[in-house]
Amino acid sequence: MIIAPCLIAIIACATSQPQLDMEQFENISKQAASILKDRGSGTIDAKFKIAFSDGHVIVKRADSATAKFYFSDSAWHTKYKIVGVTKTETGYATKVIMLSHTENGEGHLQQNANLLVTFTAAPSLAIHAVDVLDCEQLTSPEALFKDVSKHSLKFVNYDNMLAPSLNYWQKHISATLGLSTKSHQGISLADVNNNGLDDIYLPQPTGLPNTLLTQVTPGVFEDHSVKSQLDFLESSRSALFVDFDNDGDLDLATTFPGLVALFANDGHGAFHVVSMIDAPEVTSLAAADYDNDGLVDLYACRYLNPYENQAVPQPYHDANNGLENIMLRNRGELQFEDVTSEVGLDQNNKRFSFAASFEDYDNDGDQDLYVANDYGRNNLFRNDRGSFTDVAASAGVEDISAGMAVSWGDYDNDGYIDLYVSNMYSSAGQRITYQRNFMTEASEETRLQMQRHAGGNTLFKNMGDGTFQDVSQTSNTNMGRWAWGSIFFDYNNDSQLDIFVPNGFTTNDNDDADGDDL
Amino acid sequence: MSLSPETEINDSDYKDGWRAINKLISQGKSWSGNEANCMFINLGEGEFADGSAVSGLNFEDDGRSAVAHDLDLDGNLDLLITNRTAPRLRVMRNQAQTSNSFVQLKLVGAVNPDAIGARVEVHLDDEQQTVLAQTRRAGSGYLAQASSWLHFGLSDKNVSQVIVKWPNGKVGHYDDVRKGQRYVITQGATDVAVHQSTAASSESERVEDALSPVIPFSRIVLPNPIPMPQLKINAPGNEEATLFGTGTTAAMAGDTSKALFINLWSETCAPCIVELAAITENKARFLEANVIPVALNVTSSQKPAHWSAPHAQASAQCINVLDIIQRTLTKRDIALPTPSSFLVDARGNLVAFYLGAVDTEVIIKDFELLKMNDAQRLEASVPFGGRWLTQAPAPSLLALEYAFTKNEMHETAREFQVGYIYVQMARGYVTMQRLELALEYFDLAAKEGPYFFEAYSGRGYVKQLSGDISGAIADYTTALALRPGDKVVKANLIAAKAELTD
Repeated sequence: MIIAPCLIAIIACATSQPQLDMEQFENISKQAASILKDRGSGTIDAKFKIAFSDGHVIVKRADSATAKFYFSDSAWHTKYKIVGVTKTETGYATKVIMLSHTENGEGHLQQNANLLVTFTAAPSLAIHAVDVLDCEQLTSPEALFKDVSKHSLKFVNYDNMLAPSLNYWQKHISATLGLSTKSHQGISLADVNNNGLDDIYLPQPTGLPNTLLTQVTPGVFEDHSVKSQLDFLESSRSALFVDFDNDGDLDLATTFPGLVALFANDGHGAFHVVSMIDAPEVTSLAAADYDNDGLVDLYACRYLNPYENQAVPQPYHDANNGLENIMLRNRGELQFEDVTSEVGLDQNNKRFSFAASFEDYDNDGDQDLYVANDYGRNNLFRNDRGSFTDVAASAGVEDISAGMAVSWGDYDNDGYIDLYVSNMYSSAGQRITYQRNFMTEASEETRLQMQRHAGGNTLFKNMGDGTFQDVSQTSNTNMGRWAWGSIFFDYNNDSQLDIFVPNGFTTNDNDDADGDDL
Repeated sequence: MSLSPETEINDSDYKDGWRAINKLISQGKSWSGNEANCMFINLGEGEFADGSAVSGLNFEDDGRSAVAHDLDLDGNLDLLITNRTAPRLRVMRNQAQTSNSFVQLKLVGAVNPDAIGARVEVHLDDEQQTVLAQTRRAGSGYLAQASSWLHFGLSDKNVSQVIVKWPNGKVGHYDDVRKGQRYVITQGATDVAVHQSTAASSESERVEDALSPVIPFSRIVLPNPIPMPQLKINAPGNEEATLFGTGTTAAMAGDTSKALFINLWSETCAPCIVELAAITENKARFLEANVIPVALNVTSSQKPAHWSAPHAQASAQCINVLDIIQRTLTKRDIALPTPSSFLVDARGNLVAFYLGAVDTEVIIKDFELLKMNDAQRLEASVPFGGRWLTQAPAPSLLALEYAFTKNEMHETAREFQVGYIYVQMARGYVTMQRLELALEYFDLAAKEGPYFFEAYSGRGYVKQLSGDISGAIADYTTALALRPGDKVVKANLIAAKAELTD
């Protein structure tokens, strides 16, 4: 068994207890998971009452006292996640998240539940009882979304270029060009040709050309990468189309190995490079006019990737041995200067940063900045007339965790923009960090940080007084698995922002197993 | 944060943990894989429900980035999602049937034209006087830029007013906004303008045919050829022989003007037999292109049926060397499969290799690679066209040296060491201004290989410093042929030419 770095960090700290205990618990958890999986699908029978309907999806909830769990036929697809193990007198009690779904004549049916599954230990581990802690059921006449890629991208080299996985390209592009298969590439929307329809720019890993897909008629794209002269073969990760020189057309900032490049638009959709700013390992870009001088400035996150052996985050739960993020002030004509220190953004600034996003969270008229950091605490840089202070701790948004993405949105429509941060939810991490003998020598603060680290995504409600409240648990938005670019969006136009969470780290070909869960 | 005891974790265990995970991934194992995308439905009152399955978005794709956009202009938000596994892009059409309405707004700012930083408030005509607030921003989510259109779901309400707080602090009030419409709001204008899309199909770069069809075997074309180290083989009659390597020739082929197509096979491997039969059938086309097919049996000394080209038994050394080469050049820790093939040019440089049974027509087409110069080969090494902003990364032969050393194949590693030492010696003497000695070591490096680029570019520089301008120009030209577009050498060549004119 591979032991994940977070678990090694945890075990290494739990010096007063033998490691065996933790391994025993993990062993029980694995056995329990296997027993549940072997017993098959699960469903809940309960007196469900309608809690929500938008005319398409109906959400029903039930009092857990009326709910009964049973193992069901295979028409249901069920996944169990074991998120807690405790010892009982006769065996073990486990907390289990159940996600089940099926499709029948009436449409899609989904059940979510938290279960308490007790096991007897002797003679061998066996299920004693399954109790439902809470449950909900969703129905929908048809799936909310349908894949229309084939139609939408019919004039694009989709099947051969955009569709094949990075595992495929790893077998077709020489590693000497520097292909990374971890897929740290985003997507940008912008109306590059000014026809009223947003176009797509896809930064691509080394060896595959960055791709500009122009939306020529609603929902149908054509490949204009060559014509735009933006078909670069170096690895790019993120791109922003912004009129940086205020001349009325969109310019482009995008990342390359070792640098950020600025391209001017010739007014006819062709781009040429104007400046290149030395900056290794830039991940995301965020742009805003932080000093309100009329020119949009640029912030660049940087990340040393432990999965590419570039660095080992130290310490795991609060790593500050990464690279400095940089604020680039727009001086006009696509020239930028590094003002990171000058504006106070050099505080707490050697993290492993994946994402940053501007928002005026305190409604005072200037653009504040939130930075999501992997392996540790995030930054909330409050902007006071062009000068930044990291107020993450006092605002309650440090979110010590594996920060991957930032999304701002007013989910409760109170006029203060709330914050959703992608992290990773680790059932193994949940099990271990809540063990009583976990990190007994560590401070309570560190224990909490470690627990938080595996706790999943965070929804921060903006309280309007400069602070935020973590409402992830009560809002039921934390279990977003190994989350990447979460976004707020209102899918059903009911004026209430919903959340989509893209998910998963590395699934490999011919490997049906989930892989070890960090 | 002050240094806590928690920072002093057992360093080597922790680092070993990272190494173990990275090894596992490179071996083709999943790591938190097969995780389905999630969707949380806002129920109001601060509560959400997990609607992942009913959303139809619960793919196990290694999802990364997402943006919402009304692609079909039907008034609800569709999604574009990028992934690590196939398909790496999904266009997801929203087919939720609700009676709710919407409004979509695009801002044109007076200060910055994209109005980045503008806050838009849509006031609903309801009892609660609901206000929907959104900011126009650039950069959010994961490595993403969201749509330039701000989309507001209105439920069944009308809009009473839209207020825009522009980036320069000016505030605009707009009363005439109706639901179900798209508007452009221009700072300074008193009214909003209904937007009509001017979209029309342009003269297109439509892709009708597959440019580089998906193929079931792995094919890697090297952007810069890599010298093949020596391979030990047992020729028929159990005679020990070598292929390639410093100072050796393609002896078995008996002709150094020929390229070799080395095929690793075994008589127990059915696809191998099929592949070799296809090669035999097409042997004339191989020879016509000056390519000699060579069958290396990995398990015995048996000769392929009806095989009239050279054959031998591959030694363990030969298999190991080829295995390490393919692991290093694919960055995958996955064993060399049978069959595998290696296309090596007449100078002994690896040009392309194939893992798995390869279509003979693909091989024959790849003989074109043998005629290409380095710039053309770089172009051929990527599956589609494209341009480089800076310059293509040059291969590091040290990666191979490292891999051979790590696997205790010191004899092979040495082939990548000696030339490197000469280059380093020469560079040291350049720093010490001992130009004659520097020249001597660069001469040795150019003779020994395989660091030819470093040798020629370095020797050119020494010659330039010593006043041998035409010599410098010759060496720079050779270096540039090896690595077209190298900026330093290019600049030096220009300087040298200018010096010559002076």
